[in-house]
Amino acid sequence: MKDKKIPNKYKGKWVLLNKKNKVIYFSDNIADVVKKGREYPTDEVTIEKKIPKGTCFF
Amino acid sequence: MSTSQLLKFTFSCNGNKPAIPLIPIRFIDKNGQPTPIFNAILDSGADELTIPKALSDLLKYELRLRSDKIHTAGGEIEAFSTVACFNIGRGDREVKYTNVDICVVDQDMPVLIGIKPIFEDYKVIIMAYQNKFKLEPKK
Repeated sequence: MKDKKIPNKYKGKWVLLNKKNKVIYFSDNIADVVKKGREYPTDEVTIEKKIPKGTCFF
Repeated sequence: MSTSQLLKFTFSCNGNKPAIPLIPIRFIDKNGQPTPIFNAILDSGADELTIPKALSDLLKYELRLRSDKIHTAGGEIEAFSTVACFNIGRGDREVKYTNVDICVVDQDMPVLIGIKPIFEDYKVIIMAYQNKFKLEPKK
């Protein structure tokens, strides 16, 4: 399995991914990403928080 | 809490090492509007579905401060309870969960999906070496 490193600019950010798992929008603010995501048809985008390796979730 | 019929799923991990299992989940806000799909982290160390307060505020869920703090790797933190509606899966293969008690924390953290409801409803088979995992409905 190829290890995909998270680019620094996305670390810790909320990101909006397209169907190919490419980041099409990102922000520190989850509300911004949800708002942007609602501009796309359901199932075309996914929201994720990019967490660096070794992150404790709390 | 109620659910629609449980379905068998095969989902992907995040493609990194270590591979983190991700479950697609859409929340339904208080007005009945769905969010886009979130990739929630399947976390066997979490007792229940846990979301950041910023997301709960967006969903306009009512919060109740828990009398007991929750224990985390970083110490004790305050937490809230709320009742959520959400679907897991995507496309025409979704399982609907209605009125589920979940945990809300005032931290900027990913959505975690834990023992309740996933490990209570499904047999979970993680194949990190294949970057995927399976959820098989309980019998």
